[in-house]
Amino acid sequence: MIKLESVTKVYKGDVVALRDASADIQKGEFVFLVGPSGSGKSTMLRLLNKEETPEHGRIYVAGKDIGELNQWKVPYLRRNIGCVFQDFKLLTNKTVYENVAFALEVIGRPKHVIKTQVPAILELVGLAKKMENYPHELSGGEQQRVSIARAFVNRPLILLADEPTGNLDPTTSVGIMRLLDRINRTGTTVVMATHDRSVVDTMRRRVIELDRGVIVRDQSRGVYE
Amino acid sequence: MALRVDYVVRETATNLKRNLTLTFATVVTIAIALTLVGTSLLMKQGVNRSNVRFRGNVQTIVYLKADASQDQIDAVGRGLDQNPNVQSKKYLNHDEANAEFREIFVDEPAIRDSLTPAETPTSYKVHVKNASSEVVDSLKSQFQVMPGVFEVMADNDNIRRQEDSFAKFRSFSLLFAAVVGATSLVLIVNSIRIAMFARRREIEVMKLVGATNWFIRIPFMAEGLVQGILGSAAGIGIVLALRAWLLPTLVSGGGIWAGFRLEFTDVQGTGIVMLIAGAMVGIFGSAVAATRFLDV
Repeated sequence: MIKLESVTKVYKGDVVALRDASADIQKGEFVFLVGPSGSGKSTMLRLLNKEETPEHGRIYVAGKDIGELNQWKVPYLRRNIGCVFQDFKLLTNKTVYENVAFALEVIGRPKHVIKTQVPAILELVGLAKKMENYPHELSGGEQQRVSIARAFVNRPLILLADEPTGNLDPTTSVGIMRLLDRINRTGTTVVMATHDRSVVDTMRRRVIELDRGVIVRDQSRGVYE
Repeated sequence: MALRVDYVVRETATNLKRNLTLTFATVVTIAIALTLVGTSLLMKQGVNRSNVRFRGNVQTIVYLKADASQDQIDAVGRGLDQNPNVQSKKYLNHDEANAEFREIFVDEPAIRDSLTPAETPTSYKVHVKNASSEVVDSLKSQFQVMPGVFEVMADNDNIRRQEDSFAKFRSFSLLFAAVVGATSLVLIVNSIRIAMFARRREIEVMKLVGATNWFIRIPFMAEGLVQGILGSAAGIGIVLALRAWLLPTLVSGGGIWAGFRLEFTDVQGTGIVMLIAGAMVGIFGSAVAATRFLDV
């Protein structure tokens, strides 16, 4: 599903974010990216989404070399990739329902599809009763659920999560991880960058550890260490 | 990709409302620029129309009586041919003279249809070799008294003065319009930039979930288009008001405005030009801004 071949990403001022990184992630896998701040976890996620382009190496997503992808085709790549962030990135002037509906609306889904899919996904994340609430009326955990609903409403092949539990307390984090696990069980490949030791150790899934841009460990059913 | 109309309308309206002051400034600037362009165009048309008879370097026109006999007409023609000051002459028969008359009064059916071709005086249009006022005056006195001649009209200094001063005014106002036009373009770019900045989070989310660039851009371009159209509509309104209220006063005051005619057809044509120009400025400015600032 995702394949990195000797990928190197250098930011301005010769900051090497990723050096010669290779990995092969199968469909339906759940992968943790761990490592200290600045080790290249977020860069790796941004490369998969083509928010960044690598200096060297190739990246394949769903069998396609995304380096060969025309700029105008990038939006269509992103429709196959859901994204979840530490800061949720919800639109504060829209309700929970509107936030999720927005994701379908901007990719041109017809109204009747939006009307059935949005309540269904909000039901799945356990927010059916808060559809008309605004983000500031929700707890952090609930806001993250909305953001997961938005990322998943289009049933993407891949879900990228950048520190999704970074702003949440341990109990809430468990709930979010259960949700991500459920999504993973539907066949969606999940790649999650995290600092959260307990989450990684509880889940016992594949762990890719980065240190200063280099992959130093790739272990199936690993722990944080 | 389906781009729903209600979506574009809603987003465009939101943007325009959010930026109300800047929208207003942009619309006013476009209106001023286009008023200047419109006035200059109309001045040219007005001068052309009032001097339609003297078009093509004609300096003198010998109008013949409607009932002049063919012999009288030929006699005047021969007289013109023999006159050393005459470079060339052209005879306008009843039909041609009537067509010209109808062109001058195109939008005033009452006057336009008052003369049948047979009633319209025929004329000789004369191109003079050395068009000094003495030569023109001597022609006038020579032919005025010939049988069958109704009137001799000369391209007097007034027409040339009118053409000169209007031409100067036009170059000045077109220059000014270019400056104001450039300002309105900058204002459009800026208002789109601010609209995009205000919505940067939305745009970021849109890009993340896979909205195409066109999908993101079109509401902003529609915003520029609306500003351009509102501006040109205001400009057309100003031009119409000037024609209705100011022009009659100027014309009755005489001077270089004497004989200045502006028909509704002229204003209509210019209005369309203004509308297209406004729409183009709006679309172009917002497209530039949307493309330049979309790179999240």
